[in-house]
Order: sequence, then structure tokens, then C-alpha cells
Amino acid sequence: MSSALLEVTDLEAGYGPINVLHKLSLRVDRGEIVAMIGANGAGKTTTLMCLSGVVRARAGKIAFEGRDLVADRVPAHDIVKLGLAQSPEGRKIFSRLTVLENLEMGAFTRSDKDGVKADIEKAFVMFPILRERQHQAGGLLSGGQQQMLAIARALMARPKLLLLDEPSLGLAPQIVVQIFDVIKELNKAGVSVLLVEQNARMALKVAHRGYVLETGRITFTDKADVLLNDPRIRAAYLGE
Amino acid sequence: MTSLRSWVPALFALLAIYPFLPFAEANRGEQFTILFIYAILALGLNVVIGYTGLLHLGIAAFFGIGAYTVGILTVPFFPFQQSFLVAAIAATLLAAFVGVVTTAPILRLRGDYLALVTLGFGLITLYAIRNLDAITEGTKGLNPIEAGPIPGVAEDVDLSSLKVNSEWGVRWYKYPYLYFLALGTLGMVMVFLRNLERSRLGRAWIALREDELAASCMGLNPARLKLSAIAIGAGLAGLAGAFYAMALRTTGNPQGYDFTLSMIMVCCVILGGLGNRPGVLLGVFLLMGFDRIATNMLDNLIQEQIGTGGSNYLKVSGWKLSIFGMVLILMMRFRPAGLLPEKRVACELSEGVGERGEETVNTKPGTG
Repeated sequence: MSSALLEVTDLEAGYGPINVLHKLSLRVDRGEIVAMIGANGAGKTTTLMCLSGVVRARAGKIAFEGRDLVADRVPAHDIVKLGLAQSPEGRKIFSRLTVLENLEMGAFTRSDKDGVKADIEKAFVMFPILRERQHQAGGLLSGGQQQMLAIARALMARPKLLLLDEPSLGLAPQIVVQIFDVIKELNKAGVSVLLVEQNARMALKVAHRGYVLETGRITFTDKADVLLNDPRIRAAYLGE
Repeated sequence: MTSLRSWVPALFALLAIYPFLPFAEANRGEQFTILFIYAILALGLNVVIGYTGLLHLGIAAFFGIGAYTVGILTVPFFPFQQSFLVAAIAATLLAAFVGVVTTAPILRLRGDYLALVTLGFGLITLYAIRNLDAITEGTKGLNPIEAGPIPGVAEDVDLSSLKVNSEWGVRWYKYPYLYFLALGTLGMVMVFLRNLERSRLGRAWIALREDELAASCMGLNPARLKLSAIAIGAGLAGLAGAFYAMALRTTGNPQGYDFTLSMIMVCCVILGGLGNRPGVLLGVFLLMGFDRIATNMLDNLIQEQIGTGGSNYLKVSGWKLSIFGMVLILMMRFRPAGLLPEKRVACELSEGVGERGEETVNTKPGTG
């Protein structure tokens, strides 16, 4: 238990009269990549938004490094400071800010200028294309480049846990492979990752463990390779 | 487009030497002073609309609050008798405070809804001013406002040794002293806003305007950012109001702070280029200059040339609002990002921008 970085217990959340998440529990250990897969509307994005504090949890616990974010009512902008950053679905690049400004915005909560500079340099090493285009408006990047920027931007907060919402959305297969390679590398460098994906096969290939989410409930959870070979999962999410 | 960067300092330099020119008239100089004041007001509005994208339709209320604060703190009718400096600071702070207090409860509203509430706020403020007879003297306005410039300094500042033009007065709140003061303040506001734009805060406002969700995922606090924009915008409007009352030496008829003024200011900001400081300046000089100066000149000219004998349809001032409307429609058709488009806005409106996905329906008032 002590290795749990994030421990979610009986989380409930929703919009208006509708509850989307029903007693959802999951765990991310330090150094892990955890994949959450599920169909449209299963509640994957809502879960991440809850973790980031953008959507308020109605009940349950979100313990991040032992601190309960729900009970303490930690606001979204402080959650980033604690070390939990998200690259939201659809990338949401600030298209009028330059690539460099986008990265700086990711480090908004930090005050160590030299550290930020060093991390921008790291991001440029990881994604050389971003260095080339650093003075261009974010909106002028291609989809894949925007996704790289979105990940790099989230990393600028120096998160302990990185939440990635659909990083493969709308990208060419080749770019998807590239993005997932980066995720693996990041993980090796010590960042824990909670990965939400519709591309279940790719996600389970890089992840250590996986959760299957159906209409706001966790229906399966196991090691990623077990899930990958489970006939029910294969039928429902891998198209076999 | 690069040569545009230098026209603003050039314009300021030109305006600074204007009173020394032999053909300078006190009358014209006083009209310019009013333009500078409206420019400060529009720049304040630009912080709110242009930087953060909150469509505020009640900026005139803060202008009024600023003017009446100066009125209350300086006229003989009240026991305060403060100097202009003290009154102007109080006006700025009070307007900023009222801005924060009235906006905090409505931060969850977006776009049109926010605009409607701010419009309502403008109207409420106007009617409150008009009906609080005991404090504001109703439609008569507070007067005379003849405070000294700074504490301990009398209102008579005889600078006759500096007199280069026979029309230069000796009282500091008359042309050309107030002219210089307003121009200097406008210049300082421009510099202040330029630095603000380049600061972390300025960048954060743009991020917020673009995508509030992503911004909060980055650890930005949307509520605090919006309130800081309102505080600065309303504060500048209050400062402009303080100058306005000083220039007129009365708060005037409350009608001067009504919805029309808010609307014209929005027009100035959009005409010049949303979010672009030099553009906003240009917008004010064109629109307000046309409104306050050019129409009168044209009226006189037509009168002299043709001798209309009082027929209204030959007066430009009668056609003023129609001309405003036409100009705005043409602008929206041909230069939707304004005369001097802000680099970032222009980039968004042009088709060169890549796919941004479905989230473009956020708060982006005025540009549509």
C-alpha cells in the first residue's frame, strides 16, 4: 500500500442530475503506467477531470500521496502544484500562444526560473520538432505535433503523476507509435502515468496494469498483458 | 506592418509639442484632453474584453464611479476637500473594488450571459447616481470641482514664465496643464499595459481566453485571473472618470455615464483591434475624435460653405450614429479583427490556423 501514489476509493461524480461515476476505485503505484480503457461515455474523461479537480467529486476519496483531495477540497490550480498534471483530451493547445509560451504556461505554478528553462530544454530534446517551431503559434502545429506539445506542456509542471487523456486521438498510426514510445520513456524517467485510451491495444501494450471502465464502473482490472489476452476484452475492445 | 510599431511614440511626441505650436488653440487642446481620457477608459475596457475575453457592457459605470468619487472628495458641498491626486487614487481604487465585488458573484457566467449582467450593472449604477440626490445632486451633477493637484499645492499654479502661447491659463486644471497631465497619464497607462501584456499575468489571461479548461489543468486559477483583469480594467476606467470630472470641473449630467458610452467604448476597442493597445488608441481617436471634434468642424464648414439655415439633415452631427453604424458594419465585413489587428487574434481569424477541434465555442465575444 505504501507504494500507492494515487488511491481512488468509491469515487462518485456527475453533471447535474446524472451520476457518471459509480463507486469507482483505482490505484496507481509509483513508477507505474496504468491504462484505463472503455467505450465512449464510460466516464474516462470525467474520472480524469475529477482527479484534476475540474469536476467536483460528489463522494469518495482521492488520496494523492496520502492526502485526500476530496475531503480537503483542494482546488484545481493547487492540485497541479501537488504534482498531478493532466494533458486533456483533444490536446487543447493555446493556439494563439507560441510553442514556447505554451510550455511556459505549463510551468505556471512554478517559480524556479532556471528549473523551468532546463525543463524546456529537456522538452526540446525529447521533441526536437518543438524546438524548431518554438516561436510559431501553437495552432499552426499539426495534430501530432500538438499532441507532443500537450504532453510536454503537462510535463512542465514536473508532475509525479501524469494524466493523459486520449493521446492517440485523431493521429496517424505512425505518430501514435511515436507518442507511446515517449510515454514509455517518460515512465522510465520516473513519471507515473494514468493513461486513458480508446486505442485499447496500444494502451495495454505500454501499461503495466489496466482498468476497464463501463458506464462509470470498473468491470475488470488486472495486469495489462492478462487483459490483453482476456477473450472478453479482446471481443469487446480489441475487435476480435 | 513593422513600421506601425513606431507610430505610437511618434504620436505621443507630436501631441506633447502641440500646445507649443503657434496655431494651437485652447479649445482644441481641451477637446484633445477629453480624447486622452476616453483613451484611458478604452484601454481599461480592453484589459477586460481584449485580454481576458469577458464582454463587459457596463464600463461606463466605473467611469461614473471615478468621476463621482472625485466630485465627492473635492467639491465645497462636501467636507472632504481633497486634492486631485488623492481623489484620483481613491477613484481608481474604489472603481477597482466595485469591479471585483460586482463581478465575483457572476464569474460562472459566460459570453452573452455575463454581458447581460454587466449591462444591468451599468444601468443600475447610472440610476443610482441619478437618484441619490443627497450625494450626487441628481441630474445637476457635482460642481465646481476645483481641487489642487497634489496635497498642499494650491489650484493656482502660475507657470507664466513658461507661457509660450497666449492661451495658456494659470490654473492647473485648465489647458494646457491638464492636457499634459492627461497625456502623460495615458502614456504611462500604455507602458504599464505593455509590460502587463508581456508578464506572466498577461500570458495567463490569453491562455484563459483561449481555453479555460486547459488553463485550469495547467494550474491557472480562472476566478482570480478574471478578477484581476476586472480590477485593472475598472481601475483604469475609474482613473479616466477622475480626469473627466476634473476636465469638465463638474461630474455633469449622469447621462454622460450611460449605456451609450459603454457601447461606444466597445466599438472603439473592436474598431481599433481587440487586444491591441495601439489599435485601441487609434479606435478612440477615430471614433471619439469624429464624435467630439470632426462632426463639429464639419458642421461649421458646411454652415459656412452652403449656409444651411438650420436644416438638420445637412448637419453631420445628425448623421453621426448612422455613420458609426455603417463604419462598424463595413469593418466587420472587411477587417473583422480591427484596423490594427492584434497578432494573436488575427492569427485565429485567418484560415491558416490548424484544426483546433470542437472547443472553439468558448467565450470569444466581439470577434464573431
